Amino acid sequence: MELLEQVRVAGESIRANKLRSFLTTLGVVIGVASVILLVSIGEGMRTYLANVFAGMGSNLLFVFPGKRDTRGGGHPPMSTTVHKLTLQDANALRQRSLNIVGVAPLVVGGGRVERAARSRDTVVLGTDHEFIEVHNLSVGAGEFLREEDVEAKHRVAIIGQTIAKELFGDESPLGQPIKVAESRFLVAGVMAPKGQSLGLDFDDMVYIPVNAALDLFNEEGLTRISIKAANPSNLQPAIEDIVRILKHRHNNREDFTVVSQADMLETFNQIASTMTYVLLGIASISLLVGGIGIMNIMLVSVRERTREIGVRKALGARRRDILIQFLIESVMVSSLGGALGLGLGALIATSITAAVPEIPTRITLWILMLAVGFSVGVGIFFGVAPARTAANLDPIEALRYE
Amino acid sequence: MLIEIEKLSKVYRMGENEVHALREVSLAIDRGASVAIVGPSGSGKSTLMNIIGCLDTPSGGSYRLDGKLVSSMNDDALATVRNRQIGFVFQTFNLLPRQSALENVALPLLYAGVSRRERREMALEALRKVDLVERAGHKPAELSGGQRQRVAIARALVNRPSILLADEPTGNLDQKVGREIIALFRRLNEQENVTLILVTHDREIAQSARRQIEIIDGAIVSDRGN
Ligand SMILES: Nc1ncnc2c1ncn2[C@@H]1O[C@H](COP(=O)(O)OP(=O)(O)OP(=O)(O)O)[C@@H](O)[C@H]1O
Ligand SMILES: [Mg+2]
Repeated sequence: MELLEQVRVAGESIRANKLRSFLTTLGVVIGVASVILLVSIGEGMRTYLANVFAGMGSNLLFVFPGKRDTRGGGHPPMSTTVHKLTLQDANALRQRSLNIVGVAPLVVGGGRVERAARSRDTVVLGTDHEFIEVHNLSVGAGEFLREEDVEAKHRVAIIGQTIAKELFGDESPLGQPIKVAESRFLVAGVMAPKGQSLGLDFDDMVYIPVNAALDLFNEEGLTRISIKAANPSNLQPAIEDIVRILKHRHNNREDFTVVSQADMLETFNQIASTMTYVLLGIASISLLVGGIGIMNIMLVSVRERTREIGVRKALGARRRDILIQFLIESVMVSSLGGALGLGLGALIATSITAAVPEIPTRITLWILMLAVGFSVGVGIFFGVAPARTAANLDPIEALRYE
Repeated sequence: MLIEIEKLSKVYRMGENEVHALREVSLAIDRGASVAIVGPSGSGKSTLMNIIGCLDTPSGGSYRLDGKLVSSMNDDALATVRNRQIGFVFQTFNLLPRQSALENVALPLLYAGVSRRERREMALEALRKVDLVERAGHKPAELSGGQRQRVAIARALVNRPSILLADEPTGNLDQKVGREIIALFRRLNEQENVTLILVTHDREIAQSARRQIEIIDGAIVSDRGN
């Protein structure tokens, strides 16, 4: 029997029981919709992260104090012998490697910024003039930290947009005094708006000279050093330079860790894809439930149509003809559910992103294929048992069935 | 010989009990014959018809149809024989309620792999033979009992089978309509040369066939007109 005719027969029987067919598909609709939704959130995260990392600047390397063995199996460092990362370390890197075009030492702390009666708790970053180039940031008004600000330990601060608004409103903050963690600074610049990424609000930060920050927080070592390599091809040589130069300065001990931007992206991507798979697993459970629903209804349908099956067999239908007829019917029911679920999932995903831009979603071709594959798979997998029951009916008994 | 049956038996096992529905029945039927099978209720008429119609398989003995040993065929081969050689007419019509008369008639052609256009032509031709072309688009529920049975007969004929089997085809019809159906069978038997085997309780209908076989308790007790 031709496939087209089988599809027509199946379509007819689905149409004959519109409400029941629809209720049957509901499980698959919900299953596929949640697969689409959850996976599109996962995919959206991944795209979002890639964009964030691209926006952070390119060809970046980060040096952290202490040896963190990311590959596992290393010995934990003896805390007494760990050297801090110092400003001199940063300067040595700046001067002695041709593969490096930018170095920004970094001290991160928290503190209250105040101006007259207004105040705000914020993130305070101690760094130097190369920071904005390394991290792809730009200044909106005034200027960023200058080389001599660090050399002379000037008490100047560059503030983010949010802080400028909060403390100064419409006034110009340039040249105005503020207090950062109880110390007096003069505002030398305001950053251009940048927005949030990775949970950091770049507009809600204060930048001060790195050595001033060390004093302010009573720290001896840097939180990290951000380094920009000239080109992607310079990344590996730059890492080798960093290790060589710092080891030399640290009594031949590798008591620091160099991480590349790509490594970090990779780690985040791994987290994102693990999350995607976990979500997929959860969504699969609802598909399973949907599949069982289809099996159940198909078994009822086979029972109801026992006589029809008997007639078809008496007229010459072979086992295979009946098997395929019912398989096609269950695949059609589940694909119908899949299509509806696809629409529903995509709709919810887009409206979530429209309502809450912080939750990015993204629907890619592979998600669509996944949904189609899933729903056809569910139809076949859960349709086989009912179809076999139908195909195995004895024609005489089927004809006698009331 | 179209049908050659030798020492055919059918035993139903019901727990401890055995029901011998057919006891070593031997029978031969020529191509083009018209045969009526009569007998009391429970004597094994339907059992015999189902085996001849390849819907059921015997417990013992042999059945040759057109020279081929049907009694040892598997399910799919039997399905093909039913499709190509047998036309079955049931007491309860057994039409598919959601399909039109034309679609019901075309059903066997679907399993014979006939193209859509040819199916339509052949089904219309079969409906013409039972005088129902003008009802081709009607659903079974929109037809009278006699018309339904005529659709069923058209369906049985559509694939040009060599045997037309009818198990009490007038059992659900009133007498007048029953007569018309029987007249139709006779005409088909004579004009189309299709072998006709029918089961009936009606003496008059039985007499209309050229040969009468009486079965009692699973065995042939008389065979007249042969
Ligand atoms: N599936 C079955 N299981 C057990 N016994 C059966 C089965 N089918 C038929 N029989 C028995 O076989 C015998 C013959 O039945 P069959 O249906 O052939 O009779 P029949 O001559 O057609 O009767 P009727 O005129 O009432 O239709 C009966 O005793 C019946 O009870
Ligand atoms: Mg009977």
